[in-house]
Formats: sequence, structure tokens, C-alpha cells
Amino acid sequence: MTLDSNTAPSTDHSEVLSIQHATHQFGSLVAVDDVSITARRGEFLTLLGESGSGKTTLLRLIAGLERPTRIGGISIEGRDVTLVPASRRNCTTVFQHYALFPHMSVGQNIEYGLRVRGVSISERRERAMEALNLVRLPDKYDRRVHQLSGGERQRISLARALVTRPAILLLDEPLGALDEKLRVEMQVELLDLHQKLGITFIYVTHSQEEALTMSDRIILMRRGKIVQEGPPTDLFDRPGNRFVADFMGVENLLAGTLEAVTGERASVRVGDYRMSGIWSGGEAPAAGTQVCLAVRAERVRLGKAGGGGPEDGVNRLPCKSGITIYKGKYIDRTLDTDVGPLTARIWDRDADLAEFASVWWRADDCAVTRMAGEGG
Amino acid sequence: MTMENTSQARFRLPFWRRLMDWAPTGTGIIFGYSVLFILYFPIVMLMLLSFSGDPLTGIPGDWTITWYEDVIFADIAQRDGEAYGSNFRVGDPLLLSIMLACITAVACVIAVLIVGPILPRIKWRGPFLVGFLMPLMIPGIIGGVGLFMWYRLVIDVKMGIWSLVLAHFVWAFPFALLAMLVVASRFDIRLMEAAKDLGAKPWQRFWQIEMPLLKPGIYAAGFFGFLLSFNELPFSIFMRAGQDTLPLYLWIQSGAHNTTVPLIYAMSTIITVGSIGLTFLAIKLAFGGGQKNDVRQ
Amino acid sequence: MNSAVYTSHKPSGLRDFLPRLPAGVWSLSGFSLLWFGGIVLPLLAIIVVSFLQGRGLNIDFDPTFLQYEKFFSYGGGDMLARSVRIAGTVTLIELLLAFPFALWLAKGCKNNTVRLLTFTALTVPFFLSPAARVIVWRSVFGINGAVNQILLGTGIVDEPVLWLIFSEFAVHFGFIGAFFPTMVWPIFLSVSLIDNDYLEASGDLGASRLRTLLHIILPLALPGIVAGFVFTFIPMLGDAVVASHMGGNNVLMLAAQVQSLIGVSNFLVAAALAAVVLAIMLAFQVLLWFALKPVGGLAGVFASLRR
Repeated sequence: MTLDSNTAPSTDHSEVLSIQHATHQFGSLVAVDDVSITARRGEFLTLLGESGSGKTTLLRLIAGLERPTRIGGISIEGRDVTLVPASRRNCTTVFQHYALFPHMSVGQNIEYGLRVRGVSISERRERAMEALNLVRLPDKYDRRVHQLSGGERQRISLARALVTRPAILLLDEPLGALDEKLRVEMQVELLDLHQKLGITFIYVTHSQEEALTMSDRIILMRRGKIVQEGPPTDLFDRPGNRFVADFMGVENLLAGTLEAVTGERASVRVGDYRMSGIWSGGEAPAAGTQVCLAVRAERVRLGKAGGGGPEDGVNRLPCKSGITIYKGKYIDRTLDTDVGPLTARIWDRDADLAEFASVWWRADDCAVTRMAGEGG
Repeated sequence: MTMENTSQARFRLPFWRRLMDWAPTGTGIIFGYSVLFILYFPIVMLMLLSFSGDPLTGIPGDWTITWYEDVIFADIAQRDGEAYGSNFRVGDPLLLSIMLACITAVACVIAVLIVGPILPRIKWRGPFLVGFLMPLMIPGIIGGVGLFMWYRLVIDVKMGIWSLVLAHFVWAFPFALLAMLVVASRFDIRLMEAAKDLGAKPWQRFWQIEMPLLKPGIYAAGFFGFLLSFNELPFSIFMRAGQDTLPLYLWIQSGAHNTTVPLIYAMSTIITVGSIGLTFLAIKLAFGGGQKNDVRQ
Repeated sequence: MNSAVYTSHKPSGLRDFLPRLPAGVWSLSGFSLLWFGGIVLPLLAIIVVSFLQGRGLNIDFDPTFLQYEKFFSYGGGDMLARSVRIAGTVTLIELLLAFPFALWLAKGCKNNTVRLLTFTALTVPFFLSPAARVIVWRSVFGINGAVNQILLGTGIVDEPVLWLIFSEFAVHFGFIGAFFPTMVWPIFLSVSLIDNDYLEASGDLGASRLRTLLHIILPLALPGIVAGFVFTFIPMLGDAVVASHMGGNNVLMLAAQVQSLIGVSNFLVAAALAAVVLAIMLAFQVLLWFALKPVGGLAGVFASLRR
């Protein structure tokens, strides 16, 4: 079932949103700094960043709830909406704290968008029930908002936004107020809805896990600028700079000096050791530049003593044991090395050695990237 | 070793300790309710005396409704051109007061809808607020003098009904505004954004979202406006012309002959009871919505 | 995407968006203009008028202290002193009575019904006629009134007590009841805004209840106390109804005199009188403004209601 009134979902990859050179300031604070993004029809696009990164402001610019200080142009579905107010743009927002109207019932809330468009009472009711079924709350039509739980309110808020069949659905950290278990369930539901409806979703979050789970494409923002954009695998495995690596949860970030970049590979001098990894910092800088070597804790393994340099395709360091933290599903071990502490995450108990003298990982498993980049 | 020897001793502080603990609270309670007694005593007495045979003694008793009859009949009689024992005519002032109170109520509601929702959101709320609440700080007599002098002496405009309306509005507006602000400051502006996002035009947003949620404030403003205008005395003393309002009339009468005192009691009781009743109604309408209309989520 | 859409907009330095003020701001401005021009201004104009001279309705726009001279030769100085003294005394008494009560109401009273009833009792008097609230005392305190009859009847006195009415005692007494709510409400509000956690922490750290009161409650409740003082003192100073009913001609209070001066069309001296009162009031308003600064001013009080 689809609520999309236009073309069939996902086969049409035309551009549904385009923002060019948007800048927005609050007084002297620049929230969005010359940002340009596009979104395709049916895409699940995530704006990711910490608070103050400008992601929510950008979302509001798309919705029309803020008028940008400076703008090259905004168009939705090919139509220039720069001067069009929020009430006439073909996109709706799911707000972080739901913003459900307390003086209306659930049904009235959902129908509101249709009501202001002059849709007839019977059709409104029909479409509202359709939307309620979609979010699996079909018997809540006459309830009052304050009688619902947090998760239910979130779904009603979703239904309300979807019933008007927008071209773009904007979601402002919708799962932030939910507890962990509910959040995970809702992520699956949202993905499911997205598949079914084929509408473009633009999703704002500060959680990199959420972004990874749900997105077709992620735009990572920092201090009003875009730091990196691309599919989740890009940001996860090929961070463009140290900030991205850190934000995406890479536990081990080592500082080093770049020796050379050949093809995909980069060789680095970290402390007294030579290491190599996959270069993911874009255009390669000159030799001697400070770079960052990023390797995830899962990829780090414990080994016996011995060498092993980059020629073997393995980076190895002698180490001593530090703190061990038991996490149930896995064990985190901090290892003290000459170049600083490293974290190894051990999922397989059998692989956890009682005695070890070195820590190693495959060169292919780590990325070498810039220290800083734009916005960094 | 068994546990049999431990008995459950009741934990009781010595009497004087308990008294000391209770003293601060007790003082507060005693002070407060004593003064409240002083405050309400005359009101209650008023009602009792209005039904008493000899109110001038200040002792209730000898129950009768003769004073009430007098109030009503005196007016009717004089309307018909007949003479009556006293020339206490309450009808015209009563009507004037009601009319003024209605006008003031409407004016307060409109004014409060203009000022209330916007005030918490703008930058210079402080100075505006002080300006709007100024009449609270300048009591009736002084304010009345000021307005009177300005309009009569400086601008040279004669007093009239308009001046009474102005005076009542000036007096009632700060209270109405305060009541509305209590409601308006809890209003979540994101609801308006959501409505806009869903496609509602500005007037739709105002009528369908803002107004219903501000309803308690509107009721409060209306009732406050009515009640405060109806019972207003100090401003009216200066801003009147020709016709008297009811409080004004009673005030003048009470300075005059003693024979009308019981009638004044009776009339005053009527308006007091009416005012108390309306106040309860106002509070119920304004703040009785409960969780259903709770604006915060 | 057609680049035609973008060429008309330069990427930087563009302001398509004129400051479009919402309709609400326009009507607010209009109303404010009317309010400040038609009401605030006249009130402040009293001061100006008091420096004029003339007779009856004829004004001579020539600044002079004449009115003030007349005022003081009139015995105005005494009246001023008396009014301030009485109002000040009663306000202080009110403060001492209201503070423990407000404190209890805010922090000590657990019973919701009692609280609600008390709130109502503290609110209703605002909506009653001021005269209706005090006229009964004349009968009760009069020579043949209830009090005297009881005193005579039980033999406590041989003759009726005269000083119960139309005396300073009566004025004090009348003021106390009438202005109690205005003292209680601000103190109550500011005490209830004090987080209970602070009080618990204070006790936990070893402070006795008295010390908690002195070091924690009083400082935090100070804005409310000052507000209560101002909201009580000023109306009391400007009151003519209670003063004239209870004091009669024996106790001449400022505001009542203003009224009678206007009655004999002696407007300018009345203006001088009024200006003096107004000046005192404005001084206190400034005091209040300073006292409210720590909590962010009046606007801050409403902001804290959002919590």
C-alpha cells in the first residue's frame, strides 16, 4: 500500500529536493554555513551530527519553518519553493516532542492536515484510519493525547505527518524521547514504513548507530558545515578525517606521519613503528603531513610476541595488559603500548589469550585519514 | 541469646519538644487564619445584618427580609412616580454598572488576546510588562486624579460614559493580563509550528490551535474584567459624569443619612454574594480544564 | 535541475526576505501606543500639573512651587507623615503575619482541599467592592455596636469605648484585613518556587531549621517579600475608602484628602498632594525593580512558570 500520490516508489530516481548554498545565522551564531544538499525520490537520507552541528536548522530550512539568512535556492519536486511558506510546501515534519494538539483527539490530530486542505469529512476519516492502520494503532481514533504512551504518541505523530501524502517526510530526532528497547523497535518500523511508502525520508539524529541502521545515505555535519557524505559503509569504513572516524565510533585513533600513498594504500610512521592502511582522506597530502590511523576495536587482536610489519599485511605492536571490562556479549581490553593505549574488543572467548605480548591487526582493516578537514 | 528482650518502644519525643517542632508551623497557621477571619468577618456580618431587624447595632438577630423588599420596592415605586419612605433608587446605577462591566469585559478579552500571546515571545517584555501592570502600582484615587486632570484640565475633554469605561478598563486590564499570561507562558509555540507544517494558514492557526488552548485565559480575562469593573470605586469617583455606578451610589449613600444604612447592607449583600458566585464560576471555567487541555507535553 | 532557477539568486549577500512582522506585533504596537499615550502618560503628568498654578479650571502654564507651599501650609506635612507612618506600620505588621502563613502554605500544607480553599479565600476579596468590606465595622465598633454592648454587658467597662471607630486604631484594623492577600500572594509564590532539594540539602549538611530559614529561605524569598511589601504599601498609601470609613474626620489620610480637594475643585493642590504620593510610589517601584532583578525581573517570574 502506498500513500504516495505521484509516481511509483523507488524506480524513479529523480531529484526530489535540492538546496543550494544555504546559510542561516542566529544573531552572530552561524548555524548553517553555505550548505548544499540534494535528495532523491525514495531515499532515506540522514543528517547526522552532534548538537550545534546545524542539522536541525537545516531540516527546518527545508520545512520552511525558518527562512534562511542567505540562500542560493531551494526546490522541492522541481518546483522553486524559496519564497513559499511552510504551509504550502509539500513536506511535513515529525517533531522531536511530537507536538500533538492537546485539545484534539487522536483522530482529529491526524486529520488536521487534511482539514486545512478542505478535504471532505468522510474522506478525511477514511484516510486517517488508513494512516492509523499503517502505524498499527487502529483503535485509538477517539482517544485523547494524554492517554497515550510515549511510543504511541510518536506513531500518531508519524501518522499525522504521513496522511497528507507529502513528497518528503522530515523527522527531527523522533526516537530521542523513547527508551532503548522501544527505540530499536521503532527503527525497524520506520524502515518498514519507508520501504512500503517509497517517500523520501530526511532524518535528523545524533546517534551514529541509528544513522548506520536506517540510512541509504548519511550527511555528517559539524558546526554548520558538511564534513562527509555518502553511504553508511563509506563513513563507517572510510572516514574522511579524524573527526568522522571519532564520531562514527572508531575507538583507536593513532597519530602518525604520512610516508607515502600508493594507490589505495598509505604507509605511516606511528611512533617508532611503520604501519600501513587504506587511505580514505580524499586527495593525498604531501609526505610528512600529520595523519590519523583509525582501527576499530573489533579488528584488533591479541598475539604472542614477534614482529610483523606492514610487508606482511599486518600491523603489530608489543603491549602490556591494562584494564579489562566485561560487557557480557564481549570483553573490552585496554592495552598499553608505546604509542598510547589501544582497545581490543573480543567477541569470541576462545580468541582471548591469557598470555600475550603483542597486539595486531590486518592492514586492510584500518584506515589512514586526515587529521582535520573542513569543519574539523 | 534470644531476641525476646527487645520490646518495640514507641518513638516519642517529650511533649515540649513536640510543641517546639510544631510552633513555627503553628504560628503561621494561627496568624494567617486569624487575619483571614478579620478579613471575612465584616463580609459575613454584612450578610447577617442585612437580614436583621436592627442592623445599626451591629448585632444580628430578629430575622427579616424587609430591607430587601425596601430596596426593590423603593426603586419600583419611584419609577412609578410614587413617594416612598426613603429615596433609595438602585435600579439605574445597577444597570449602568452592568453595562459598564460588560463593555469592560469585552475590552479586556480583546486587549488580552492582542497582548497576551505575544508578550512572552518578544524581546522587550520587561518594560512592556511594567507599563501594562502600572495601574496595579498606582491605586485608584491617585490614578483617578491623574487621568481626570489630564483629560479634563490639560486636554479639556468633558467626562462622560467614555471616561468611566476608560477608568474601569485601566483598572481591570492588569489583572486580566496577569491571568492570561499565566496561561500564555505555558503555551508551546511548537504546536503552532506543527500546524503550519501541516499546511494551516495563519488565521486557521489562530482559530483552531491558539484560541482553544488559550480559552482558560480568555474566560479569566472576561470574568475579571466584569467583576473588577462592577465593583470598582476609587477610579469611578473621579471619572464620573452625571450618572453614578452602583458602588458609587452606595458609597455616597453611606456617607449620608443613617436611615438608608440597612438598605445599603442589603444591596451590598446582594452584590457580594453575586460577586463571590461569579468568582467561583470564573475559577472553575478558567482552571477547571485539567489534564485534558494541558498544553505542556 | 534547471540552472535557470538559480541564476536569479546570487549565492551570497542575498536577502529575499523582508522583515515581515506578523499581524500580532502590529496590533500589539497599536495597543501599546494607545495604552502608553492615553494612560501611562497622563498618570505621570500629575507631577507636571502639580507645578502649575491657577484657579479652578484655569491653568497658568508657569512652573511654580505654589501648590506645594499651599499643601504644606495646609497641614499637609502632618498628613503626609501620618499616612506614611500608618501605612508603613500596618505593612510591616502584615509582613510579620503573612510570612509564616505563606511559608506554611507553600511548604507545610499537604492537604490539597485546605490549600484550594485558602487560595480561594485569598482571591475572592479582590473581586468584592471595597466599601462593602468595611462598612460593617462602623456598626460593630460604634457606640451602640456589638463590641460595646458585649463589653458593657459583661461589665468589663462602665462606659462605651469610643476609640474603636473613627480613630487610628480603626484605620490600622481596617487596613490589616483588607490588604492581607496582597502581602501573602507574592511571598507564597516566591517561596513555592524554592526547590525542596535546597531545603533538604541544608538540613543534610547540618543546619537547624532556624538556620535554613535565615540562610536559605529568606534570601531566596526576598524578591517575593519585597514585592509583597510594595504591592501592599502603595495601595494602602493611596487608599481613600478604608481610611475615610474607619477614620472619619479624626484621622486625615492623604488620599482621602485628595478626594475632598477635588470635590471643592481645588485641583492644583490636589495635584501637588497626588504628586507627592506618586513620587513615593515610584520610588518604591524602582526598589521593586531592583529586588526582582535576581530572578530575572517580572518577565522571569512568568518564565519560571513554564517549569
